[in-house]
Amino acid sequence: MSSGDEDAAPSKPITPAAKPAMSRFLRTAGSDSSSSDSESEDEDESEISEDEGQEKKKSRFVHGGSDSDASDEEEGKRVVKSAKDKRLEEMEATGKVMDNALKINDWVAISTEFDKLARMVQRQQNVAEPVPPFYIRTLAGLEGSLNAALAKEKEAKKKMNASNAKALTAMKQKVKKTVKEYEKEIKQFQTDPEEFERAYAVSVQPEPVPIKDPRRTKKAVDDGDEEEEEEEVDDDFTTVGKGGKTMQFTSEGIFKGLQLVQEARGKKNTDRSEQIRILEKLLGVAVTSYQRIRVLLALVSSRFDYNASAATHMPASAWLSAQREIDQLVSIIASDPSYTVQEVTDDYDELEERTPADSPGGVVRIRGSIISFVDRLDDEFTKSLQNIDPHGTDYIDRLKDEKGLYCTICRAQAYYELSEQPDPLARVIMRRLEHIYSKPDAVVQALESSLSASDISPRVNLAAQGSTGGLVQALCIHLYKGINSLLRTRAMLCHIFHHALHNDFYTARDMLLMSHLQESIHSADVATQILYNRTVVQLGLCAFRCGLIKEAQATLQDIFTTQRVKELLAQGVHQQRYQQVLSPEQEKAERQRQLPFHMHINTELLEAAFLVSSMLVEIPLLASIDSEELKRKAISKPFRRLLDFADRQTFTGPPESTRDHIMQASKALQDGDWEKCRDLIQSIKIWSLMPEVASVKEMLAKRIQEEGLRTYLFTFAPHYSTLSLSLLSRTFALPLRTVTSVVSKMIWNEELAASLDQAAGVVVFHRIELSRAQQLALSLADKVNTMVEQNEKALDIKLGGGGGWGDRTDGNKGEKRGEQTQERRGRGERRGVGRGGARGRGARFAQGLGNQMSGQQSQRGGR
Amino acid sequence: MAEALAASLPAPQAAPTPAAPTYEAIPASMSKVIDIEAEIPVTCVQLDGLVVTKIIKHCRDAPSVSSAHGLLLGLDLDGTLEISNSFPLPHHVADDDDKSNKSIARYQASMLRSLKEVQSDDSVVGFYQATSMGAFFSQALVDTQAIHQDRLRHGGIVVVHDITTTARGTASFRAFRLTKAFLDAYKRNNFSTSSLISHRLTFSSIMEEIPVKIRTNALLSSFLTTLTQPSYSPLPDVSPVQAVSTSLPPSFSTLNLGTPGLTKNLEQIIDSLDQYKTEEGNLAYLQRQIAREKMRADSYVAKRKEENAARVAQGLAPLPEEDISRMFKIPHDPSRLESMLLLGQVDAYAKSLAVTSSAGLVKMYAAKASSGV
Repeated sequence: MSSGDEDAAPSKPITPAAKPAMSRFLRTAGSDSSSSDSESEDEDESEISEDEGQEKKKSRFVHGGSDSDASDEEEGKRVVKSAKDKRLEEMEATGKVMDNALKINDWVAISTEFDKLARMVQRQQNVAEPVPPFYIRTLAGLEGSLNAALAKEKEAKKKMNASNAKALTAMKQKVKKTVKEYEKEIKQFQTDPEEFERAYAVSVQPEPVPIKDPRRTKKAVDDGDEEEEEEEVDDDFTTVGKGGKTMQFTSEGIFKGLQLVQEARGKKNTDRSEQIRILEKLLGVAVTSYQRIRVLLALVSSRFDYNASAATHMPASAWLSAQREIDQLVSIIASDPSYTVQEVTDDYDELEERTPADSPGGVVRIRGSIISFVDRLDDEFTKSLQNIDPHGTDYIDRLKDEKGLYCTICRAQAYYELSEQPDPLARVIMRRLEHIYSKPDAVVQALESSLSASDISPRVNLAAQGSTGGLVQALCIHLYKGINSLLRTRAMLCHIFHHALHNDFYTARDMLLMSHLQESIHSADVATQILYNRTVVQLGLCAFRCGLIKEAQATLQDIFTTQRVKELLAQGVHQQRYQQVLSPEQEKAERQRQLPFHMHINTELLEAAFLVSSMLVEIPLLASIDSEELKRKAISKPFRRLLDFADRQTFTGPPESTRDHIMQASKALQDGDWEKCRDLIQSIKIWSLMPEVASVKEMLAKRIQEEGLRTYLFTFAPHYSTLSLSLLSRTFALPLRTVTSVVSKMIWNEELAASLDQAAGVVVFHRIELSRAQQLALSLADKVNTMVEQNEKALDIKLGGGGGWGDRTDGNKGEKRGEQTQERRGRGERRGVGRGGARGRGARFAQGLGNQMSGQQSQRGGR
Repeated sequence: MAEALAASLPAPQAAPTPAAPTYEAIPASMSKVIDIEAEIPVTCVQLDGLVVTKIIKHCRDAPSVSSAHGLLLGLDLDGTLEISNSFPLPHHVADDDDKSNKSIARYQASMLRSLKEVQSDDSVVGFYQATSMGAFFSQALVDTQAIHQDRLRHGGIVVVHDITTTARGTASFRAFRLTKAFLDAYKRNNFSTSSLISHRLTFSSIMEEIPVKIRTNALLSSFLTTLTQPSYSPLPDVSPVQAVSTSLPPSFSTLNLGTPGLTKNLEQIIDSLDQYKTEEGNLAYLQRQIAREKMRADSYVAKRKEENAARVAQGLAPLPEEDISRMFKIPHDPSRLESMLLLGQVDAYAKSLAVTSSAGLVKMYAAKASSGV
């Protein structure tokens, strides 16, 4: 109805919540000081986009202040003037501002003022008053000056800036439209202005006092709510006024009101906060359960509607009320089994009250979905955590709400258990599981403790299961029984994660291997892949904590070789690389995927664990091989790279970062200086983040001693013909038994050409030195071997049949071939996809790990 | 080097014809064997003793194997290429090409002139190249021979002398020329996979071997015979050791248990395998590059086709088919010549390794048997 609003709306890309407050602020300022211009508007706009949340509060505050000022002022005036006169005066003031703006050729200001004027006139008409001649006069004058300005603009091209010119053309359109509307009046006015004014005076005179004071209506409508525009008042005026607003908020009018709200939903000009307010009112007057359920359903969904854009999160207060209302809803339905909320129901008349008595089966089915509310509530919670600075107190405060959320989820679970709806029950259990699987026991206990207070509680809870492990197990088992395979997969991963978190490495590993997830994970959705990556990483950490260094190294290796740890764990956005640029949508999707901060696995700790385990695996290995050729085949490329880099450094200062510590420790280990190595490793600060620091450090010290011994033997064996075991045990502060067992193991594994002389307590080294020709012959054999393999592969590709080799070869070889072809296929796929998208990336990691795992498995089988 | 040689060589038709107007009547007995138009193909190469000794001496003295090369001079007669003389060419290391090329060309021209002045043979019929372990395949050799074959009468030949076997007591001379198929591919400068297949080229079909004869004049042969004939001491009371004396005592070097060239041979075969691997890697990389480009082009074409179909369905004029080759620079198929030559080298090394090691094995068995273990 007011053209100005619609024109302005698309041009301002700010949040709808902030906008009305803004324009209101501008308006009051304009009428007071008559100096609002485009500059101030631009400034404010940029400020808003800079800091939305703050600005919202601020503007609200400013606005509130000016509002009360204005009303005070008007209060004073009201004593002497009638409302009509006041409106006229207001119009004239606006006209004056327009005149002023016209003088300085400021079309932006003119445009806003004109919009305001049009609104006033509109209101005038709403109260059935004739259009004042002043408006017609201004209109006619404006048309003339507009034409003049346009003509001038044509001559002098460079004079106006862009926004001004835009405003000018917009004005042209508007004036044209309005002039057409009031064609008759203008003609009258132009023929005889005096006569026209007189006619107006006459028409006004006999009228009684105007029906309503717009000021008062407005006050009535938006008493609590500030974020409202005056034009919206007109809007609401029509809506609310239809049935008389006192009439509306009664239990009889509820369904009508609901329908009105529902119709307005999703429309462009609907004021969402107003709707919420109306619904709240309706809830207040709702008496029957049916009414309350209906209103609550509408209210919660309109709360979720509050934010139009998906990028921003719900304000905490709105979220809290939504949570409260969902709770309320659940308790209503749960307490009264004659009402159910279902996603699919028979059609029913929205405007009629329904009771269990007149419904089929004595159960009133209402259309709605509590599970989607819960889902949405949880998502909004995550979203808000993603957006809050994790290092501030806000984040902690927000995190406290998780307890309530968890409680809500459990209540929903309890409800679904009662009403026996398996599908939503599985979903809600999954939600619950996701809240607890990665948390330490204490936190889970805290979350669970809130349950006892609620009126309904799910069957599975901590008190019943005794331990968090039992709780997770019980939840997972429920999901395993379900039919939804995605939920099963996720439950499995959560379960494994939980085992890993509780240092139950073997169970976790066996579950992971038995699930065969590594084979199919690359076809899963991204969120599940992230969960998979998290699980694998946690498994690696678990192995590390348990002192299973080799397993830890092997598990963590894959994710570290990708060099995108953060990205794969969804703890940081993808680094832009030169060859691929993400589209904004992809980037947005990736950002939405990020885990909230409190769920993060500390990457620095992860790296420390990985590098230390790499060190313990790699350094003895490095010492054991002597030819350059073999050296190039590193087990852990990231570690080797760092080590090479550290080797190239001319000067090394005291260690600062974790990496420095580990690199210097590695060097010390290479030199056989295990004490220094141990001290360096133990002085890494990040260990403090690991649970059971002391035992982990102790374990590391023991490993360092053993690996130090191995490294020493590898490095210095050529210089001895015999070596006393007791000397070794003294040097490495290890008991004689351990030394003997380490040495024996090395001899057994053919890593050390030596034998043990038990009687004398010495290691006797045997030296076999290969002649040059022998060495060369060996390496030739190697090379020829690789060449043959290469040829076979080439032939394989040429023949084209992926399964060709696998089919033809039989027995043991078939398996290997199969692996090869799979690998090759993987490569082809990689080439085909062209490194597109995050899915491909995740898939690659997952796939690599899959191969690794299956390899391990077959090893285990072989043992 | 190849260019230098080419520059210094006489034009192909100039070589045989200058004497044409002053021909005296060719005796009837010879008319069949002298072919002025080079119609009789060369079936045999005959090396003079002089040439053999000269080549051996040059190759042994040369600082490195690859640097020892020179020109062969001679004439062909009734299908036999008689090589009567040779001279080494200087080898410049790490000089700038242009300069060294020029100086080589100058040296060669002046050498030929000097030889002509002393009424010696001065027509170039090919060149010789020293090599070790029989691996003579190299880009330079192929290039030079290709130029020779283009310009020389009868195409010219290359004589390869293997110094390793010579050091073991069996001098090895082999004569080669490029096969027709290879020359064809070479002229087109196309060694892509498809071309290799269509020309049926492998490393063994790059060159064809021509049998070599070594000719010594009667005087020299009789001298050599006397050298090997033992002479019995006329004195009656000499010890058995001194009773028989030869000027060239029999050599028992073949019975030496050590295998002198083995390490070297292994090193070289590993080296060339490595080179081959790198070359293969390059090829694979290029291959992938091509495949990727092709895929892009194909997808573009498919998209365009689809678009056109849609346009036609809508009743619009189809978009023009654009020149894809201009939009997508699809690189040419990579040349596999280098990898083929490397394979040839590997093969030669492997053969020589097989010879050495089998001899070594036989010796080992012999030693074992004789030691009675």
